[in-house]
Amino acid sequence: MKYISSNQDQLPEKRETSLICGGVVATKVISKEESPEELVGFVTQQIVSCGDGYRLVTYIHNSILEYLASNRAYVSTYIFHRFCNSFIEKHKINDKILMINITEVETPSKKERFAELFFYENRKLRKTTNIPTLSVDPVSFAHALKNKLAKELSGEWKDTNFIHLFSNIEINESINEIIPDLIIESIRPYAFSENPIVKWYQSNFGHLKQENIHFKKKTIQSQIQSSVGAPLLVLLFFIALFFSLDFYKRSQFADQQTKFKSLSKASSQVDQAKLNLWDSRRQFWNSITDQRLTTDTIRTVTSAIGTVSQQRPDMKLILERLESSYTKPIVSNQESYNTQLNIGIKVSKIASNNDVIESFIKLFTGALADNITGTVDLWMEPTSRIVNKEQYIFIKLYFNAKKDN
Amino acid sequence: MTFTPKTLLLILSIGLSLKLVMSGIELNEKWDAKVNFQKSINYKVSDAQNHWRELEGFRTSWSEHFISEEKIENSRLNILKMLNLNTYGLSAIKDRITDTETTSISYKGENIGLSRTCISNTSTGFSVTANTLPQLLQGLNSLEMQQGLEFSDVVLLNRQGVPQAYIRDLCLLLKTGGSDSE
Repeated sequence: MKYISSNQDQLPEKRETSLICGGVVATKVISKEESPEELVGFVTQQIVSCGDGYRLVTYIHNSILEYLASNRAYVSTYIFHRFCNSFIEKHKINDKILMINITEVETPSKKERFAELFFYENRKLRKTTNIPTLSVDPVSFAHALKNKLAKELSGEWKDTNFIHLFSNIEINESINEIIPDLIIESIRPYAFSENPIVKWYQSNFGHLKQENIHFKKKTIQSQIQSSVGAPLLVLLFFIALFFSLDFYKRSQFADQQTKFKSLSKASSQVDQAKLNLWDSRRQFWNSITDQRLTTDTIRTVTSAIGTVSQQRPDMKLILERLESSYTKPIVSNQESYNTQLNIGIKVSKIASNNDVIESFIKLFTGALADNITGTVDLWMEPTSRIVNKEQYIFIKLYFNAKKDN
Repeated sequence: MTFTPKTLLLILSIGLSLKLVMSGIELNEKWDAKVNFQKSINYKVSDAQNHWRELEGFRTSWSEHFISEEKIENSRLNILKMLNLNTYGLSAIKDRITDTETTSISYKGENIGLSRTCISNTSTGFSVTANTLPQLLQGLNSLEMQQGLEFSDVVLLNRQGVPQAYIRDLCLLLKTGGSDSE
């Protein structure tokens, strides 16, 4: 025995077994190189039921599996039963109900139909039966089915209120004339996704392996190819793509708008004119704070003169006049000088010879170099002359005080 | 030449699909333009807000650095007081301002809400003196570093041991326009 589906942990203690028959479609795989061979057969299955809860354990005899040469069998009865259970529970049908599943099986050699009949009452499976071979001819098929139903719907099942018929084939509507009370659930040509049973099975147990229903897959493909499905599918794809794009772009735009709103909400919008004004103010500020202090340079220069005076007290140096003024920039050695210092230093008569003046310049230059800090650049033009019988050293210094405004 | 319904449907589907593709491209471009425009606005708003926040410290410094014109009340005495000459060891040769000249300051052609008030107490500018030359230089240095005050040309005279400084262009920078310029 081989179980297709069972839950060993939940197997009921009290078992009632009954036999049912179902159609089995299987694919025999001989080797990778060869095409799979489709096989159709019927299998006797056991249903195990117990107590209030209903459990179905479906298995196939090894002998049948061997006959089918595959353990990948699609047992329609089992699936149909699970579907019916779900259907009845979903609609809470306590009345008597008969569920019929018609399956047409087509192989290269023959085409035949079989029917499975499941009787339920109070949401429990009470009886199962099957019609192994039915005619493919619509009228003969309908009559055979009618006769079978007349037989089955007698006795305790006489007052069956609902009869649902499921089918994987198109059933001629004349069947309703022959069997008027039938509720036909699927009369359209078989389509994999439209079959309520298979659809239900897929939603609960995942997709059936295609190999298992190989003969059906071929039918579907030929239906699509021979119908208008492909161009419609392409059209639908582009429609979906178009609306998806529209939706995506709209949401992108909405995101940006939301961002804008949150930005606006976070703080009041900044006036661009105000921002420009403050930018100009900052630039102006930088321009005035960048400028070097004129008085710093003056102090550096006077300090250097003081140093020379201390080194050579015999010179009796007196700083008489110092004038600082901005000039047009003068460029020397690639440096720009925009501030001019004119210094007038009185020298004692004793020291008023050229050697001493040269000595002063030398000392002054040295002292200046010692005192200059930072990046102040100085450029010096020393001269000496006698004014009112007094010896003076005139120094013209240019330095770079950055002041552009 | 006749077409079967299936062929017609196929042609119609292809035509509609092409139309949808074209419309999709147009739609994409239209939305892209809208999204990019909104993005640029968002960027500008965000950038402006960041910039404004970045300037916050500077705006505080600006308002603290410069005194408002209103505080001076157009009084020369108040201007003189503002110079804090005594604090720097300096004294004005004449204790009264003889001339003032106020001009509005523009930076790169834009009025930045500041005015420049240049003062003088002699014909050659504003003149100060100190007890010694180093004291005078120190005082001038402090004066130059005073907030909202600027000068450039200076003449130092040290005749007969009396140091004097003539500042040709001693100017005060004052905020104008009240709080609206903040």
